[in-house]
Amino acid sequence: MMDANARPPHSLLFPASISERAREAYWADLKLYLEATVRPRLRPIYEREVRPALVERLGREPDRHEIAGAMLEVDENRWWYLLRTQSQRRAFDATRAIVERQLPQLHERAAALGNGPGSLELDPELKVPAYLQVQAHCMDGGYTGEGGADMLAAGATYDRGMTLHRMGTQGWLCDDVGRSLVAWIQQRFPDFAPRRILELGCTVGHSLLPFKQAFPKAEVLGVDVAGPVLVYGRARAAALGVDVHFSQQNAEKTSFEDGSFDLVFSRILLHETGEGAIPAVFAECNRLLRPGGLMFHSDAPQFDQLDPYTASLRHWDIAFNHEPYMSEYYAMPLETMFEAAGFDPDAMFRASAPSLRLTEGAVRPEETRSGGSYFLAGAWR
Amino acid sequence: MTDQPQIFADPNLERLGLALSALVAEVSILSERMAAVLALAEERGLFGEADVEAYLPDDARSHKWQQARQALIANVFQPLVPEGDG
Repeated sequence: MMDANARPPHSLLFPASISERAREAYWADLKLYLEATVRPRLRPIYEREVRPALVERLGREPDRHEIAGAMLEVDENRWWYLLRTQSQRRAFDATRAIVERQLPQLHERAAALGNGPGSLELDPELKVPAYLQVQAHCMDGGYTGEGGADMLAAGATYDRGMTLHRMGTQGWLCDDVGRSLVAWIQQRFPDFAPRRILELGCTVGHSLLPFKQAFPKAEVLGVDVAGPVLVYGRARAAALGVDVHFSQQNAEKTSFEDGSFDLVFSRILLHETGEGAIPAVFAECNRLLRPGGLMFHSDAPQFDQLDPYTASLRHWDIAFNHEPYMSEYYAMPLETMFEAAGFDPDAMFRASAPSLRLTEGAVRPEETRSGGSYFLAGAWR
Repeated sequence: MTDQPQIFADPNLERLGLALSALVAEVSILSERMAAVLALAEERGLFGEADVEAYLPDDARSHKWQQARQALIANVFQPLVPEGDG
């Protein structure tokens, strides 16, 4: 298998020493083993032992909460929870240690890259919303780099972690989601040619850059509340020579003019925000779009798309992976909320964009946490 | 220990699991390092696996290796040890 240390996908990702990368790879491989090999073996235990007992006790089929609770009594699943949590945490720790040792190199490279073709606008006065988790998915410091003053470390840790912890299943530029979503849009709506595109919660630009690459004539912008991931994102975009613009703003209320975008989207943003923020984000999308513009939000599928056992698997993320808002977000009636934000029910859709990496045969479905496709829900303005 | 919620009723079992996963990390890292050293030595025509097996360290090296061993033990068994400086 190709190693991103031997052939870094861009010039801000530096090779680690053999001990560092063996440590990082161990925890990443343990995660992959737990996801791809161990977790599928837990379902037969549920079907064989846990479900019949629950049905007998309740007199009906159990819901996701009851399943998650009962499965935590199963020793094999307890070991999975324990090791999965530990591997998640330690993989990010290993990555952060590498990034911290490489910080002088990283700063030197970022300075040499300059601004690149894109731009960056920071707002030091912007208030970081209380819902933003300092330890989002067990990554110490989260997206804002809390506890450390370095402006590149949080983004570099997130980028290196996302790239290497999934062993390249997202592609070495971590762009399978973005590429797959934009490919789906181009195939489904071949006449749609957005001139101005905005991603809400873009972090370092993993999903943003593919939109510029697919719509090269469009002006492509990304906002995020976390400044450090944008600083790194600008440097990364410069390293890749992609012309995108980063701006530190809150997706609930941006500074852009009414009707100034053709496409506004988010990817794995909404489950990081609280219940209060989401209606405001949808209303902001409606305000920002021109008539005929498109809004979509891509995240893991809503609970109503899943069987109760599959839905119960999110319990680990919610309770152990510092993703407390997943529980309420995935239960939200998205279409009702889109309508409340001003979108027409007849112009809404839900879809599943097939993973290009899967279609290309580069990964197996069980190696992807998404099962090989990316859920999206949206509406035309 | 971290601030994560308890999974097993018996905290000792939990600590043992964390120690085990850390131990395998060390074994995995060591194996890769050793493989790299051997690959380099063989590529450069210096020595092979049998030479490594027969090697005897001097006192200074023995001391250094002991320190490394103690650090390994402290790292692997950290989840079983109470927090603080003692």
